[in-house]
Amino acid sequence: MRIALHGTHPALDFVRPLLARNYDLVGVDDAPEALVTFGPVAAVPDSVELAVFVAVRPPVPLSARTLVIGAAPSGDGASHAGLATEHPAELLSLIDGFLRYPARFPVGDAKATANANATATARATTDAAREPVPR
Amino acid sequence: MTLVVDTVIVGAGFAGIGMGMRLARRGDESFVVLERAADVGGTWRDNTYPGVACDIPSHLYSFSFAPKHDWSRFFAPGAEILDYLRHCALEIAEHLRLGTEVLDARWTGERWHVSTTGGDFSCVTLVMAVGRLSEPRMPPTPGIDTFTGEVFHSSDWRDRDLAGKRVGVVGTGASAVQLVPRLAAEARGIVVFQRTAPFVLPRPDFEYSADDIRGFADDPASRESLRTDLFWGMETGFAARVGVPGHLDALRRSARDHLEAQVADPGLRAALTPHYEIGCKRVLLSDDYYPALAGPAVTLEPSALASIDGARVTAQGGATHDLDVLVFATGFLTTHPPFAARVFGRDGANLADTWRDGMVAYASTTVHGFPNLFVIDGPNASLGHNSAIVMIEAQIGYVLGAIDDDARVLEVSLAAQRRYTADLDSRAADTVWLGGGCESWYVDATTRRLTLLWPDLAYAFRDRLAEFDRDAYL
Repeated sequence: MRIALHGTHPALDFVRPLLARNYDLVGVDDAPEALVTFGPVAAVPDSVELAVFVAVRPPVPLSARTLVIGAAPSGDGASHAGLATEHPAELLSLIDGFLRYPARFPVGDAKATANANATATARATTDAAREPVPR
Repeated sequence: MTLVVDTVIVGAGFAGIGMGMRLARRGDESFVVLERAADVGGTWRDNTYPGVACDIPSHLYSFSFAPKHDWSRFFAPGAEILDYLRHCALEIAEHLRLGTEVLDARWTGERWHVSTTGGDFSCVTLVMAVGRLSEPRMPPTPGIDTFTGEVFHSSDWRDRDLAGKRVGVVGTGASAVQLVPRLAAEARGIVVFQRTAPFVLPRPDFEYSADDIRGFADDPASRESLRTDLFWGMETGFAARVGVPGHLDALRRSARDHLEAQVADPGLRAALTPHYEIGCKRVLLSDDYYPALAGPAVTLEPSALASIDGARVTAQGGATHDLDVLVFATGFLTTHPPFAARVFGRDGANLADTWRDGMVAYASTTVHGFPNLFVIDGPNASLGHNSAIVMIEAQIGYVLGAIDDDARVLEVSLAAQRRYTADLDSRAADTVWLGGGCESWYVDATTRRLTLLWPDLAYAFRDRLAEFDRDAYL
């Protein structure tokens, strides 16, 4: 699948190379089949069948099957998902999951990998356990 | 007399117990769990060497459907994990057949016939859950029969007391880095035979306080939250396995800093510096391995064990050592599991023969030619960066989906299996496991294919197996 990544986000340093392992990354003007955007867009290219909006709302009416991550459902016909943690791998999993299995993201459903944010204890212990990552 | 059941599960470690629990909890009572040993627990029953512990956080190295709020430590000791598994196994106690070894399992056209040391069983579904760390690997060593002392594998420790003895430890993998520091405190001297230096990272272990444990008990959501956070945090580690810029450098730098902080002697440090890419072999966690090697009780022999003559042991580099005990911490037979020789599928095909050129399975679980056989912990179902239990649970869910299917006989098509294998080979191509310049138990020695590890993030495996895909089956 040809996907275009648009916008900027700290998680992109992690998300982009891992998406590139399994998808063809192309420019927004290169007729992508999917668009993953971290910033507002005025319009979704006609070629796009699947669109993912991270922390931004899509332009309505929707022209593609759409997942909105991190913004509350607003009756716009998109699927919605929340993040339980700040780990970029979780964000990647939602993007990848939607691109592979869009039917698992019902319209309007607030899919989340867990229902609560980590506690202070959780964060402290997780930071201790995690392999070192670039800061 | 043959006992007829719907499902036979072979193995009572994490995978077998988990499979049984999930069946029992949904009301499927027609199953048995066959275990050749006298107790449950798998690798955590067998491995009782000093210092044995897990290097995945305890709240993630346990079933999501059987949480435990009172883990004593961030990384659980082996005995505590064994206790946990024994507790879990109570749920399926009436289904357990301990001391029952499978001799032969044959597909008869509609069912599996399983011959064991405890009688015969007939079942629709056969689940092999024998684990991948269950068959000790003992490298052939010239003269081993002449050794005048005691020789044993690290997974066969039992209650041995090596106080005051001269001990040789062969291997520098996960078992060795845990047992050497403990042994150093009691043995008269230790020689560590190192064929290849491992990468070692700090081990951020700690004891959970009474307040922590009470908090997890009173607020299960906080425990769940911790598990979630641990999982996604560890997922990040995959980036270093595929060379994502920055991640590999950070991991390598951490290991180097750890070595430099703990080993002052330049010669020893050089001998402990790996010459392959980090992550290619299993990355180890320890805060006391390097100090033990730097201490007076331990001698690092920077070459493999070559031969034995009586009490005298010779290393590949030519050095000799007189020893009382030899501990082989040399890992397990992983890429060609011995159980496969006992499994015969359609038309009498033998699973070991089928896997002669390396293990393959569709969805890492089912094998063409072996209807209604499900292999948990099998080909490409392990991880190098996250919890194995996540993978086991995904496979259990997949098996349950298959059991729920209307078809009485399910055999994956060869085409589907080949597509799946090709996809995995493609995903594995850019990983450090194949390109990191090392020999490891993750890779099939004959074909050089990555047959042990799932070459992607764990969530991708979980998502891939989330639904039983009937279309892939004949």
